[in-house]
Amino acid sequence: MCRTPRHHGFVHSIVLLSLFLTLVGSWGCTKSVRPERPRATVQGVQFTISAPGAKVVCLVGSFNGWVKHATPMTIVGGTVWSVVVPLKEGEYPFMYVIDEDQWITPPHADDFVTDGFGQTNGIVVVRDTP
Amino acid sequence: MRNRTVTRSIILSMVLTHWISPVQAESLSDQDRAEINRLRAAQGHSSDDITSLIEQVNKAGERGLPVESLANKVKEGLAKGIDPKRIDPVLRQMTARLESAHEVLQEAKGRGLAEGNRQRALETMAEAFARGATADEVRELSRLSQEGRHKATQEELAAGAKSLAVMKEGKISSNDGTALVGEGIKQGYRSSDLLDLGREVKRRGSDFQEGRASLKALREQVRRGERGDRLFKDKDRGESGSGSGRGDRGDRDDRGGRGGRDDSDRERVDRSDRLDRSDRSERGDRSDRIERPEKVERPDRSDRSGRGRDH
Repeated sequence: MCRTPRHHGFVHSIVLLSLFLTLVGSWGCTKSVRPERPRATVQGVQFTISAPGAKVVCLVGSFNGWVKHATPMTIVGGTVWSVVVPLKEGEYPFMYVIDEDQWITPPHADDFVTDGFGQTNGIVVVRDTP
Repeated sequence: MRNRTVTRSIILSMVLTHWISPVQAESLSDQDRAEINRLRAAQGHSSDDITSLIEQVNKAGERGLPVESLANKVKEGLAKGIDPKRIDPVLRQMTARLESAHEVLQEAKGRGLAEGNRQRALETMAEAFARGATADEVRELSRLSQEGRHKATQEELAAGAKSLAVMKEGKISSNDGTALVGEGIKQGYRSSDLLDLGREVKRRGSDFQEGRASLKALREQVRRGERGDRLFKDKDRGESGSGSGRGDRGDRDDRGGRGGRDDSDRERVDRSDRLDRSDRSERGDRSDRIERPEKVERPDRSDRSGRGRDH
């Protein structure tokens, strides 16, 4: 069972190709679900946040009465959580709640304002659709 | 005959009531009350703990002030685990600002500004005050609005005031901001355009301070009647070629689609967030970092948190 140098070279090529494809694939996935400012989609406004290690992530804001579990988010890739919410035209303060008790100021929002209680809310601006 | 007289009396009294008190009294809706009670119970507070909050909201409604934003603040506070005793002063401040907003809008009405959406005008103006606009600045905006051909509404005046307050958060001076917003109102910018203008100027606050952009030139663009959604398009093109590392964004139409944003627009936002948060140096670009800081994130930005705004 001796292996020729040619055989070794073939195996190396396969391994390198697999690694390359894995890296390209994971890069592509990461890129497609990058957390960003809330953006309008056909179904509503999409909210995204990166929350590594989180078990539950919820979106809360004036649009859902600040009720924690009214708008749960789902993992869409890696550590990124997302949810789409139909919203009417207007401006809405919002935050994220991670694992039930961590209220997080959105890293990306159209604007930011203090809430009067010592925390900062993100603001999402929803425009009228043409 | 008697019935007809009674009917006439009823109609007359209804007309008179409406004429004497055009401001409709509002009260907390059953749904809001139920939601507040759910949140209260979830936090382990008794009904008595929130009685004064409910009373405050209802009293504000009786005075003709919109109750929705107040009810929302109660819900927000309870949901965030804030003690009702700490919600109380925040609510009082909000009510006081709504009353001030009512006063300045009445003044503006006296000068001939049409009402528009009263509730939105009141809430927006109250928010403008919360974020640092002053009654004098509003009066100046109101005066400037009368110089234009466009007949501004109170809602637009309120949006202008909020736009100015947002600009001031971006370290734009009151005079410069007032002149710019006033020009926008004169040129017939809609409320949403005025608000966008404020946010865009705030995002580029450092550009204006450090001379990379000119407020005077921007005002001139507005004066020439350039549309609000086109104001920053050329600037973005310029930035893309300046090696500022902001990416090639020349092919995008800023705010062109009012219902949605494209990828390049989002890219700008990420950048703007970095600008907005320039004083959060320890965080850097938070878009690719874990967002699990301390248990409750504290606001630490002077430019967006120093106004005690409680929307």
